[in-house]
Amino acid sequence: MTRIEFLKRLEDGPLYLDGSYGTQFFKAGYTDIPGEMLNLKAPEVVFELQKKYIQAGSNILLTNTFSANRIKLASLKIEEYIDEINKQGVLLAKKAAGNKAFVFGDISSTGEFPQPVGDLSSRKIYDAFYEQAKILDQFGVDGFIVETISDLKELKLAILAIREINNEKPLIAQMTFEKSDHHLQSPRSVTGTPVEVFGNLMNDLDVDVVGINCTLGPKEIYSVFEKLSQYTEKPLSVEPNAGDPDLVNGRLMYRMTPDEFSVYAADMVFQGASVIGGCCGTGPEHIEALKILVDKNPDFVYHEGKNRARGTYQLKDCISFLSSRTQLIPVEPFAPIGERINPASKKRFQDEIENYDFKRILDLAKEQELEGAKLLDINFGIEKILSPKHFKQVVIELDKISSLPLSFDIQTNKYLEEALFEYPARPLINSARVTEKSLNRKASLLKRHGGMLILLAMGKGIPETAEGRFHQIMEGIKELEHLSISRLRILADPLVLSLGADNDPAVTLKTVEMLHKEGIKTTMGLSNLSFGMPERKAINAAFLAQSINRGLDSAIMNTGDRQLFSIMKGSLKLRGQDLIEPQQVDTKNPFVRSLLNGEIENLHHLIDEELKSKSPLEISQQVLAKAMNEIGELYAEKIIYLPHLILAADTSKPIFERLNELSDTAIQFVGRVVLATVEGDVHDIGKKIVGTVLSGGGFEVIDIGKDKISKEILDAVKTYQPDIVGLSAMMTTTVGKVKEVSDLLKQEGIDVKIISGGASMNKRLAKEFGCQGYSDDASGALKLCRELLKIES
Amino acid sequence: MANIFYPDKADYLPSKKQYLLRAGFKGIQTKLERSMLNLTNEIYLEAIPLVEAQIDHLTIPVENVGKITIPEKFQGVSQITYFISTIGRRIEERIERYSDSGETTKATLLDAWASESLEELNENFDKQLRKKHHKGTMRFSPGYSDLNLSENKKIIDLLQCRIVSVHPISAMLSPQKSTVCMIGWY
Repeated sequence: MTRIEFLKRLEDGPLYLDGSYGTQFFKAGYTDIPGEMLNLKAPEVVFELQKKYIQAGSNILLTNTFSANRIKLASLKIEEYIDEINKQGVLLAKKAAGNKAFVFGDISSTGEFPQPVGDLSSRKIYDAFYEQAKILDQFGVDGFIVETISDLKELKLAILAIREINNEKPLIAQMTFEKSDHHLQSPRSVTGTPVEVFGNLMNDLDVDVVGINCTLGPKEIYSVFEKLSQYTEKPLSVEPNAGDPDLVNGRLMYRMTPDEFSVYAADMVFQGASVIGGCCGTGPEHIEALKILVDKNPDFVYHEGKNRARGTYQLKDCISFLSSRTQLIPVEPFAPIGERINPASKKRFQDEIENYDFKRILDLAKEQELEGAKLLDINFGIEKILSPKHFKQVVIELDKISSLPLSFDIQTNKYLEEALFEYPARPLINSARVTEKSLNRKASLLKRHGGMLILLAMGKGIPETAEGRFHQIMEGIKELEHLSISRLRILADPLVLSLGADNDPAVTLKTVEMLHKEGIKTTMGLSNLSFGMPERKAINAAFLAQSINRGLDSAIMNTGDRQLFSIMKGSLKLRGQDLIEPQQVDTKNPFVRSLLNGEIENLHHLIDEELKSKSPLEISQQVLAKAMNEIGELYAEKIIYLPHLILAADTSKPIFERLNELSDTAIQFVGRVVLATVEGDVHDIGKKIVGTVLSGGGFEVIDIGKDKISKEILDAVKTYQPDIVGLSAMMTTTVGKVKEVSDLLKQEGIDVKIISGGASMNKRLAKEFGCQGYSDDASGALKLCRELLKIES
Repeated sequence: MANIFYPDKADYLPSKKQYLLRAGFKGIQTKLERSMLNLTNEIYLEAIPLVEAQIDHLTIPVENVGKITIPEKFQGVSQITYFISTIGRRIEERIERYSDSGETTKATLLDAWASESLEELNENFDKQLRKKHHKGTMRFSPGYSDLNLSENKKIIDLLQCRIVSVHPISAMLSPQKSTVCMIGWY
């Protein structure tokens, strides 16, 4: 089946995926073996389940290979079976499907996040996906699905790897999102990506269907689905859970009935979902009920799904967006692009970059963000003395501290490719000339990595007249459209040339006007105008005002020049527009600001000042702890995101250590916490984040690791005598172990407070298991620990 | 003596589109607000376990119909199937309860669901009959065309139906979400 044939099939009505595998295996009694190993140890169980899905009406069957990538299998200690698990996964599904269903190779998370949220390199994660996709492809899957991914960068790496293996088979890309607490807030992934950033990026990447799955039941996932549908033009897919799990007779069960599942899930087909199935807790009976209900309404509002499949669906607001992992930034009404990450004529700055000292870059990023930049331009200039690693590292560092999208002014192709490979969202590529070679190269990068492009009004030379530049741009756009790059992804640069070299600025202004009339968005490198001139600021400001008056949409400019910025805002007012200022953290606490910005040196200065009047202990327990509390609240209110929270906790560690060294008394922690992931569960990321945030909050944290049997946890509690034990369980199959540990601690008469968390836990289960508390995120865990130990804010 | 058919759930679950249209959501191509969408779904789910669906049916040669009037449009048929369908009393009681307590929105939605459920049940049974008997007339009910409502009682008596009764004066059926139907076969 080709991709075109697949999309054509979607025009006829929705395709049904299957439901869960893990929870069905668990129900069948396979509780102590990784689900994927059943392909080898009990293939008949997998086959029978898949046959039931076919009988229920599934017409896309997934291979039982959800966790079968090398990184995940290594954590389960079954790495050596990777080839066989994937091979048998395909063969079993093909046998069960016969000619009644397509077989899609199922790929999910490695269980680790790529840097900077996690520790693994992007290359390692990419290689793991590449290896798995290659086996699945070799044994003949009809297509691929990437699902249950919560980190946008990991998803992008999976897509790139699959497309490297095969770009002729259909690919469904799905992420998982938490529900938002407020109707005005966007649902976000656990790593802080709003659903609209995901949807918008997927418009560019080489995937056929875009969707969401897991975490939420069909009722709750509807609002996430609705939001996604507003930001992607691609066909949509959705796989909700069967509601929230309950504990029944000591076993964790998803109890949403097929009727309830189908009534709510069907709404998403009516709102345009082209592919639908079930995730955790769903079985053949859920798929059957859904199919019955949807089939009763063959023509009910499904036209949107058809149009998406045909490629004729267009979003109503065709605004051009750029994004970081946490923010979607519209170019409209105007996008000031910070120009100062540019070491031209600054030898010391150049040396710092060469030596991987990116502190100044990070400071400049933060400064420009505060000044009101909407994007950050990265222009190192000194590319001859740099390596791909420089670009990789700077993208990772900026991803960690800045919420702004990046503009890559990188001339060397392999450096640009490295930066794009590391970038998690939708960047701006600066720039292409109107030559066949330049356009082909940039179009290829845009198609692979996504993004927008600055198109220069020049070919081999620069046209002297406005008409010449206008025609040059239009010729370039025509060529890019021929290469499948929409004009909505282009910012045309009419070229600003130096006044000092007798260039006529009126040519640029007229070109802006002509392009604006044609509906083409424009940008320019403003500061070039006054190069070598006296009164640069005045010249730049006057020219910007005139350009905005003629329709300019963006400028690479000095956002620190407040006069220029004011005139930009005033000019926008005159054309009836207001610059939408990005949301800033509103805090009067300098510690909070420095912690959020990762400014360790600045924090040391602040500490020096505090030490003049307070003891190290007072600073540690009152000043720093208070700042971390405020940061926790900002996170809870969704003003900052998970990467900010982790950065703040990381930044606080050396500061706490310094204060402890200065203190006369022994190390003063507010409490001691032992953390562990329970037996059979190898998910570690959430627990690590909780540990980092608790440390940042003044707790002594002893993390004994993952897949810990109850006895090991008991021993650790006896050894370390903590105030609190934190237990993590991600999987429905392991959540019962939390109760086991809780019971064991009670049997031994140990007086310790138990808290729990993880995707499969909830407040009610925690209470039933005998835990004193539950939290679904790191910030909540810190708050909970403070409450349990009665620590005052 | 009539045959009794106990339908599967799939036979009487109504189309969501028809349910919403019946409830008065005209122009349903536009999206419902989230709260209303949830309410319509809650009612849809509430209704399902209340259904006690049953169909009594009898197919007889046209010469054996006795006192029952044969519609004009049945000319030339050799057999007639009479059937009485119902989704039971419990759903009607719930509608009344909502109505009495002033929860009119819920009563309206549930009533719409029940009407569409009965229609779905009849449609599906109609399809089953046509598969067996092939060429037939339209499905008719007393009260339409040249069939008087009083025919309801005659048919109920013919089928000796115990689950549906008819009011002696108004000729209305009880439970209300019931129908009496007939199809002629050539």
